Amino acid sequence: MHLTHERILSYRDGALDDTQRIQVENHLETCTACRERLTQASRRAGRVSSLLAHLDPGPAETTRTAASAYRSFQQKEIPTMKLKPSFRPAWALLTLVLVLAVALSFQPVRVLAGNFLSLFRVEQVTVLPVDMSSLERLGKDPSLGEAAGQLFSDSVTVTREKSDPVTVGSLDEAAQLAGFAPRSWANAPVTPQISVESGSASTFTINRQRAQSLIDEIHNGDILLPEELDGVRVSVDVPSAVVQTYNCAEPVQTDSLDDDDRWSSPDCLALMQVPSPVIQTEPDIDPVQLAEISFEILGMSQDEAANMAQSVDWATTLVIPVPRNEVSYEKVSVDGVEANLIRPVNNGEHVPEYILVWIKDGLVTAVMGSGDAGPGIELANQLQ
Amino acid sequence: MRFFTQAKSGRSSAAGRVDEADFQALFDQNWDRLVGVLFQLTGETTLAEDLALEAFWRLWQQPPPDYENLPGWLYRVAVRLGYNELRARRRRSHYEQQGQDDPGAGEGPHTPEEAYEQAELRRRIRAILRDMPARQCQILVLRHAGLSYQEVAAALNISTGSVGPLLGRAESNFLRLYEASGGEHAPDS
Repeated sequence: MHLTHERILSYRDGALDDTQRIQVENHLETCTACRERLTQASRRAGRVSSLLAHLDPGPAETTRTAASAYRSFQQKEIPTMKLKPSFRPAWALLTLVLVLAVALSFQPVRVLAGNFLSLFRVEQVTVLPVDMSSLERLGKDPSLGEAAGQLFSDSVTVTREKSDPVTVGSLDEAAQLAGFAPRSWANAPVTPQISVESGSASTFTINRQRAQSLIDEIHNGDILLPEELDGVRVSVDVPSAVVQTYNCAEPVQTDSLDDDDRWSSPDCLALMQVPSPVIQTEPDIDPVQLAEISFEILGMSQDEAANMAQSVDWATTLVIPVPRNEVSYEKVSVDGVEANLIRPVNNGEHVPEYILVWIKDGLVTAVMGSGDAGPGIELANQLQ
Repeated sequence: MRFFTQAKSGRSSAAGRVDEADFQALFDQNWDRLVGVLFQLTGETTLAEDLALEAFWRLWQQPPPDYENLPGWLYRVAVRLGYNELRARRRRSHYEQQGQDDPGAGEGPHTPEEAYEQAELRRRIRAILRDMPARQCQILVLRHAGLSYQEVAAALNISTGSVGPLLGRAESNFLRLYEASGGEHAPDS
């Protein structure tokens, strides 16, 4: 039996314990072939090492001592320190609002006999610019923000945790894990990195009284939550998503799409596909009434809110509320349907810089990228 | 390496941070080597220091949840920052890349010609590292910096048993790409 390649390398690099090392040495004494392989492996390592040595700092390239660097660190003189962009809280809030708006705006899913759910599928996306200044107070007033967070966490029961993304080797594997067949960019310039993020399921139980007092704090107005809302349970089930990234940098801290580092590469494009989330309320609630209240909370006048609530077909529409003045959006035609191209107005360091989102065949599909949306639109049109 | 065991005791303070004394010890013991790894990847001392500081900063701000194996976490973040920096350069225009490498490697003074050749060689080697798969590039510079198999495994989040095979592939790939880039005729050492 000859030594494995791995064993030879471990021996070469001094990574074996004493027993293993002695075994290898005994074998080497009698085996010319393995000795030769060891010589080859050592030569390769020597060659690599001498080449990499060219990249070592030269005499003129001295660096600071640990002590001096640590002093800088303590004084926080860190030049490249990336402050988390200030829009983060706004986006976090937006997500929360989005979840709530989505949860509250869907047509209730009917429970049929035998626990069989008739699954509800959204067919279109509408972007709704709203004035979120009233909600900004949630971000700025810590006690209010905390109260909102507390109410939210008290009201939500996560029934299935979202897990870390799993990197997979092929679309087939992704399809198997995610339970649907994702499409991919037909003319992609590079092979994508594919990952599957398992979805989450949660139930939100409305505590009318607490929600009402929070709304009273935010609005000095007269928004009244209907009594019948108390105790209503809204369950949201978000299926697994398949994410394909093209030309993106390696995520540094996590493997999540939220990792800003991915976007340090300007050509980074991400394609996300997720089957429509399933929303169910118990008991049934009137989506129009709820939407109207949501819009009022978001800062519309009562008339505006009523008009808006009536104008949307809640059974088929996913409504994405976006902050007016902070986000611009336009309709573009891609993939044979109408899509929404959303981007922050003041781009600054925001990453990704745009999101293109549409729904086709029951799949919510989004393309994220930086700079000009051209490549993202191209990707969207070349899905197959 | 001793810190790998020591860091297991890395305690969290009440504020969800690494204990400050532990943190400073980690900083002192790893600073030089970390900057060395980042210099390998970037070729600029200030940038290498900045990225190292950023890695420490991230550790301070957002330590891994279990406080286990802090050096592994630190090297992982640093080497990914460095690798991303290296990759980002490919996308900058060519003239920007000119002169990015200070011709400073090796010993003693260079003539202008030698300095130029040295800078060219550095550029070529970094281009090869840049074009390699991330883990292969990372394992080469981490090993070159003297990290043990265990330390490399912790930094790349792989099992110790996977280090050898990955390293073997990385070495072969690196040498193949070097030869393909006309490396046989380049000055050696």
